[in-house]
Amino acid sequence: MVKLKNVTLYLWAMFVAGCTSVSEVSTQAQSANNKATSPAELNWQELSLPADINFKFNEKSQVLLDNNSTGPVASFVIPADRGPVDMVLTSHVGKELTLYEPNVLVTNSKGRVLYHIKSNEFKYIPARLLDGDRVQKQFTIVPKIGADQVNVLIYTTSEDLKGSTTVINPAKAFAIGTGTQPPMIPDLTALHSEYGQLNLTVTAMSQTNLNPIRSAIDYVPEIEAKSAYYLNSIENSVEQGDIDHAMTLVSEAEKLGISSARATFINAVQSRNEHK
Amino acid sequence: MNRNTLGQAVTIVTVFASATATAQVDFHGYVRAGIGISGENGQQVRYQSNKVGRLGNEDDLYSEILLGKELYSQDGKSFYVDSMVALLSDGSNDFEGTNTSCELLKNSAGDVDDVSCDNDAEFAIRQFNVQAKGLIPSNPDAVSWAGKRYYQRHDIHISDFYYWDTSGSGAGIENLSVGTGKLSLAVLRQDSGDINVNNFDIRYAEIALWQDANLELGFNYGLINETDEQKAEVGEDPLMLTAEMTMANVIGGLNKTIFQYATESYGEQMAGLGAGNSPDATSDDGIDGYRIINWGVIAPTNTWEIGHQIVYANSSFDSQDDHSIFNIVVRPMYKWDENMRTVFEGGWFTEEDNKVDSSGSKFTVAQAWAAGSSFWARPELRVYASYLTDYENDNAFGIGNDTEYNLGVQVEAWW
Repeated sequence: MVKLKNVTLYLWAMFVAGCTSVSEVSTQAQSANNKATSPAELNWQELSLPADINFKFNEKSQVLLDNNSTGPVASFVIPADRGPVDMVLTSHVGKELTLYEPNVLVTNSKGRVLYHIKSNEFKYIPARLLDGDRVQKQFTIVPKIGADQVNVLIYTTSEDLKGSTTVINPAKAFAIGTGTQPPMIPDLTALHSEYGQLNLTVTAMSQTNLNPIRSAIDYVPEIEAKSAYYLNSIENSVEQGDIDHAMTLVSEAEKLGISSARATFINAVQSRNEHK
Repeated sequence: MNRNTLGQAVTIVTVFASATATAQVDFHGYVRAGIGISGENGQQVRYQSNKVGRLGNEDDLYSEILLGKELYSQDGKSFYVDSMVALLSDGSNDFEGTNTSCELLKNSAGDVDDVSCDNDAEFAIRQFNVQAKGLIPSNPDAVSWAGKRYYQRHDIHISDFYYWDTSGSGAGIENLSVGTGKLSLAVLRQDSGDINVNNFDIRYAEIALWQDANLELGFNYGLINETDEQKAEVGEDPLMLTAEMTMANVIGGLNKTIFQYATESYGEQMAGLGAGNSPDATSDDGIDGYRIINWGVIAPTNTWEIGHQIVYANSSFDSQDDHSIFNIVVRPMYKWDENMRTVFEGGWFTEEDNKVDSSGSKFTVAQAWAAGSSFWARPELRVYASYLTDYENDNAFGIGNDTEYNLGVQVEAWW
């Protein structure tokens, strides 16, 4: 009967998303030996955007055992040539009160870490209407100009597996929802598990390739050329630690009408901080 | 590298992030609505639902729409605004407006002697308040509030019986850490017709008793604030004392035992199943009342949850005989799977009011589908059949009928 609930969830999602349909994606390993010791051995699945996918971790899922991960993982490749990409990762509390506590590692095609979202950044959201108890994180990645794709790895750690997440007692949730005094009773505890049901949505700002094509054409509109120059320079300045220069570039770029300058700057600072 | 400017940059990032967070509005609400027929009375009937249970025994459309928003949050101080309107109708037709239609009624002699007015839909202002948290540095969890609000309401869901609900316009401070418990102080306006009455509400909650058990004590005093002209008609100030014990993990669920004692119009409300609200300021009849309530939800197995209540109440008067009532409602629910359940509800009451007896029962079977398996999971769609019996009034459901049945479909949701 979980199926029925899923069906209603799909219908609901269709309502909200305006007819993008959710697809079920397998996390099964390709080879018989489902234990990988490095990300390179994993089965990386390419997603086309926009994506709204459900996937399940179970005993058949591919497992990654490395410095970060100690359990089943999902590994996706997403296009990075369409400007900023918004992602929402949700992990649902299971019927038996278990939860896969996710972490997200976003790397570029050379394996360099761009974003690292730890499990403690995921926020618990109490069950409401058709959505059950869950943890969720929304984030935006701003790929470098010229990047083709980024890799998204979803994993859980041995520390995560030792922990648990507090889930609101349904009697209390009901009281809050109906405006009565929540009873003074303990909440429930969802133990963290290697298995679980997750959902990932990925949407790009633009549906088409935004990378400027440089070599093949003679004429590049001035603003586009300038935009690429400024965005690259901002990123480079931040990377080299020259924040003053980067900020000057942001204000210059904004004067020229390059609206993504600030987002690029913020993102560069964030990713620099995360990798320090 | 220049750490200062990097710090500045991080601040910009944070400000951007919080700007998007404050743009959100919290949307909460409740709705019940449906359709049903009865055996002899056309559309379905509602029969003593506070006494025999509400399942398959509601004939209205009721909805509450709440919009809330945090307006400010800085340095541990926050301001939150809440608003709620309620909408009620009998659901009888498509366009249910707020216009009032009236007709003149004629007596048996053919003369007009009365007017009957009917509102198709009613609209009520139920909450509009601001709650400020963190204003008292020594008590960061305390909430100072003013406006109109649902104030710490206590109810039994299966019979829609509110036994402690002093909601209204008012002001107060709640959740003050004092000793081992939490103290809440409020004053709420509860006018009786033209006469101003203010309910002083003091509650001390979270008194730990033993593992999984705690106690809340409450005192309510309805201070009648009459004008000189009203002096002749007012009676005594009513008061109400409440003690509520909550136990967790009682056969897999929660259990509450409540004892209340009250005087004057609150005392009259004990057997009258009132909530310590809407006092009658003219009440002056030496009234004493008390009630004992036990209710809860147990989960004896993974597939069963059972809601239950027992209420006994008595009110005594100088000028008339006692009013007493006893009722039991049980709502067992069998879960076929995560979403489908079969729900039964049986209820019975016996009542004596100034030597007039009344008694009745209800039995309901419903097949229901809900978003989740919990007793509390909603939205829930129900298809039900109810059988109603009145043991004292032979004409309770029309001439010569002391039984009736309802068949219907209802949805209940909160969010």
